[in-house]
Amino acid sequence: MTVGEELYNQRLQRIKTAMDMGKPDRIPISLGGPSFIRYSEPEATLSDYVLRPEWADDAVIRSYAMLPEIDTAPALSGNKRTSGAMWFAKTKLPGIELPNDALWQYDEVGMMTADDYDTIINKGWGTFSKELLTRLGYSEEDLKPDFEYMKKMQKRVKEELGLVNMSGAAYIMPFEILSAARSLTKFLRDMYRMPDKVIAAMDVIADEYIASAQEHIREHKPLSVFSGNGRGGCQFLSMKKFEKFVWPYIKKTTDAFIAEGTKVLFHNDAKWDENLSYWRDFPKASCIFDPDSLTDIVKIKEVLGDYMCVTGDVPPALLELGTPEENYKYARGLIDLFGHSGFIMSSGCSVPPHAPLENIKAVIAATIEG
Amino acid sequence: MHLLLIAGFLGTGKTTFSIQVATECIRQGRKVAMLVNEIGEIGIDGQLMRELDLDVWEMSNGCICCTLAADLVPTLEKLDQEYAVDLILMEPSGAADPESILRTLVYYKGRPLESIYTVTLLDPLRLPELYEVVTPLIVTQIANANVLFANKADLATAEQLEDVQRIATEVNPDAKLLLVSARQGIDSDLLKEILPWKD
Ligand SMILES: Nc1nc2c(ncn2[C@@H]2O[C@H](COP(=O)(O)OP(=O)(O)OP(=O)(O)O)[C@@H](O)[C@H]2O)c(=O)[nH]1
Ligand SMILES: [Mg+2]
Repeated sequence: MTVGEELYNQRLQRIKTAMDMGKPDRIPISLGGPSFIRYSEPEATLSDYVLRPEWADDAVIRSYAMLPEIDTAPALSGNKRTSGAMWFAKTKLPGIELPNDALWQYDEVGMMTADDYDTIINKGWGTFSKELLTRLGYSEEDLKPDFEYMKKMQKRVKEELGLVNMSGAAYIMPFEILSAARSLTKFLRDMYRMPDKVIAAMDVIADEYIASAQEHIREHKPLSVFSGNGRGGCQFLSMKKFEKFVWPYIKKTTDAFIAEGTKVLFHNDAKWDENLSYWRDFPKASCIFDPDSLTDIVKIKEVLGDYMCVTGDVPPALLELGTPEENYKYARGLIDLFGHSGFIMSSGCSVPPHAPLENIKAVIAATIEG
Repeated sequence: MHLLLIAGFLGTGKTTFSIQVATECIRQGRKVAMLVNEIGEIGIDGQLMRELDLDVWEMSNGCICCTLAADLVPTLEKLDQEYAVDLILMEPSGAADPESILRTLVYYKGRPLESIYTVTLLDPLRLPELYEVVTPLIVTQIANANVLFANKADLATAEQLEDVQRIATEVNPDAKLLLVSARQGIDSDLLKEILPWKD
């Protein structure tokens, strides 16, 4: 066994134990984001991810090698040109449409029309989403991943660095994906004026997610699958609409994913304080709640602490603009709140582009002290 | 340096309104900077910027939680240090709540802002519908406002304006509600209501 493989097994055990709500040898650490290119290459800009992606991946890998306490793998080899396709949005990139060190942006142009609910219902989500990407100007060529390169990088990450992927395939929940594809304003109008069509289309999407996840889970056996949510929470949507347009689909897909023998990692951006109790519906230790720091972490502990593993939640603004002392203190507070079982130290959403290395090290130091 | 936040749901007329405010400030001999989500959307073209001698800064509209503070705070600090700006007009994304934007200001290390004032625009054509669907968002936008404007007065019916009045009073009875058409131009007396200096 190589050193990397040994490390991999150790970290896998650590993360699995935390996800099962047990007490690992130490709290796992999951940190990653656009800032990581700079820890090994301080002069790099965000445009390097776009203009020389292989160099960027290598720099990120070298940054992880500098921070061996981190347990989880970075997202590598993403084609930034097509990254907005995930949201059916147009992509604007640093070094091309944007200044060199600006973060990539997704422009929700709302290419989906009101008639397209019928297209989804009649032809299926898979067929329609391909059609929509063509309308947005993404070519099949652009969208095709470079499997060989991906395999090579995954091997490096696993065998050289021993880093673990917390989740496999990502499913952006129907409410979220339609609000992006149609554009938020138009989607809200559709919810109000043609709710039955919206519901029928979301039913189709959820069923296709379930079929695709079953295949994925059987083949890859990921620790979890990723359920993406943001606008469905209580910062935005009324509770009545949440119950009608959001929760049934989270519930249905999650139950099906769990039935296949995996866990579900809820990447819930924005505020979910009022919605949290719904998550108690799932069997104990079958989910991971991954908030972005806008949901009250004390409330998460109170409502879900006995039900599922939580990743928390050093705020991106603190990581980027705070001092190492402030970051240390926040991380310390998280450990005091959650203790050592069923908790993974993490940033709220991803680590932002200019977070200084000292702040990352401060979060790590607090975690290692335990 | 004063901060004026122009809040309101997507497409309510925030940019159109901001340009009116900026124009009035410049007429008064003040230096203004605008912070918007997207340059080149409506009206803020290069030509207008040159005519008004207006600095327009773009905020990224990626994942709000990850980038907003990180984007806003350094921009404010730069404006404080390098530009003698009297007023910053900031238009957050129409899907953002003003409270979370103001919270990020704890990281601002420049000279203290002389005032922070929030104006929320309401769209009479859509407000009842939005109030039913995205209730929490509309409530925070209204509740955090120092003053409310019902925009698009040129299109709104009396009935629609009554609905705006009812919802505004329900959520924030203390805030004044004024009626404007940002597209047709705003009376400078009305603009003076929201400008930090009284001259
Ligand atoms: N009739 C009418 N149209 C208006 C008025 N104010 C703005 N509009 C129009 O409404 C549309 C949206 O205006 P914007 O100023 O871009 O609104 P916004 O709130 O900045 O929009 P986002 O930045 O996309 O959220 C444009 O077509 C404007 O011309 C108004 O008072 N009357
Ligand atoms: Mg605008």
